[in-house]
Amino acid sequence: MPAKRKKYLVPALLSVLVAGLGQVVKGDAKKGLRTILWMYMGFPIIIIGSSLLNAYIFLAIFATFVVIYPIIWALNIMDAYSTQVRIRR
Amino acid sequence: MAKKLDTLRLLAILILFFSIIYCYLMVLSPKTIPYYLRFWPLPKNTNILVMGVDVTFDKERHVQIKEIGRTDTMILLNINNNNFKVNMLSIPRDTVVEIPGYGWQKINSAYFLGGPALAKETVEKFLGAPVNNYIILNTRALIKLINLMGGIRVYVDRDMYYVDNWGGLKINLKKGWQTLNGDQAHGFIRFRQDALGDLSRIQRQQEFLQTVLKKLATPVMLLKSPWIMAIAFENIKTDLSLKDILYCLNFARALRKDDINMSIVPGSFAVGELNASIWAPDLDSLHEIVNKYYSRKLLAKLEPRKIPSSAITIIDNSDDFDSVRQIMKILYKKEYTIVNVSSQKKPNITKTQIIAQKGDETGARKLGGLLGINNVYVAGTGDMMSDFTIVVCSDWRQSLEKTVIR
Repeated sequence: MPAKRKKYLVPALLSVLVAGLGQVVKGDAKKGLRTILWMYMGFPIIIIGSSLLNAYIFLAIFATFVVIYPIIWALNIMDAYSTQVRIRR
Repeated sequence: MAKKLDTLRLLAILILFFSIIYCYLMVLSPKTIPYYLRFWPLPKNTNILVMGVDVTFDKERHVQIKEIGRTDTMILLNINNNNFKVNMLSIPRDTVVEIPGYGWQKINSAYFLGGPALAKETVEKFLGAPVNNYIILNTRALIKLINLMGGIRVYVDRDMYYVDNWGGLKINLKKGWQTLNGDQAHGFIRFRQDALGDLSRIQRQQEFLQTVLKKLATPVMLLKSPWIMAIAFENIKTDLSLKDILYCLNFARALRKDDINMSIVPGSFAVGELNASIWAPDLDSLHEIVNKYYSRKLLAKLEPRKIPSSAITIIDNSDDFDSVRQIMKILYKKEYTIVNVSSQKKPNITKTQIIAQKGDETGARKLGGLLGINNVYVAGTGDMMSDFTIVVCSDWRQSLEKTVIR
């Protein structure tokens, strides 16, 4: 059956605030929490931890994350805005 | 069982919540994170000596910082983690200080003579404040940084034209508001063909720094931060560790104009040997500033000194730095002008004496009474430029003690 793509404005706005929050509110808690965990704990720990190693390793990691952070975030907002979710009966 | 799981879940959510807030604060306003929650912070009160080294590079060569060169700019930074403030004390390059092992010299040769360690030691001795770390900056860093920022808009306070082919420095700026690229900005902060020379340059540099910090705080610069870091790693020589540099960069990003107290070492202009201009520091006012953690904003706020009648040169004949320092203090209290302090020895003189160059014997006697010096000569063997030349030998300290006892 052809599903109509639903728009979720409020979750999208929440995802703008905190990446992954939109998904949690929408009901896809697993995905949302996974995003939050990576964005606010995993990646920062990798970045800060790498500053203990070597200037250039740190720089490479940091630069990579500066590029991919906004991309992940934007994808996350788009996902919160328009993905279909399975709704349990 | 279920209850335990719930508390666990609550704890997890709390941790998650905390880390989200922490991340946002780290990026948006690092100052608001309490000291004990920061990652590897610097000690609460750290003094860092920032030196801009007077080394010029070829345009083609990617030269790393050279070991030699004179420090054109010397700034003692006091990073205060308690109230999130930075105190900056600019030391004019012509300031006459005692360089341990080399006698009285301009402070800008300390680095040239003994590297960062000697520069640190000199500043420590001069200010009486500990210097924990040093940072040596290359002019190349500045040029690259300004180019990366896409130029910087400053007010050029006068027409500037100066060409130094040997040093590869070319300055040609017109008065008024200008958007400067890296090379122009470099010229702007190095220009010192003013009446006040290095002093107006320091003021210009301080204004410039405020503008740069203001621009660094904009969100666009956050995206450019990896490149800023790359510039920093390439062009900085320091004894700070990587995490300390990162901490400093993040700290600098959060600084606002009123978080920075800037001051210049107080003193007066003087003419030294070979007509070289020097800056004779006013040690009492300086120590006052150092004790206050440089809380005074600018030199302009200091009381203007009266112009005294006689100019004095002090010759340190026996490396007795303490005595010279004491004499300078006494003279400053009585508002004499110290024209020069020199360690060019006069081997034929063994007793502390005052030489009245211009025949003013009563004045010399008065000065001698003030300092406890009995040997007063009217002669032409002193410094050509000044009224009196005080030659300090090792016996001065004893005579002072006697006068104090009396």
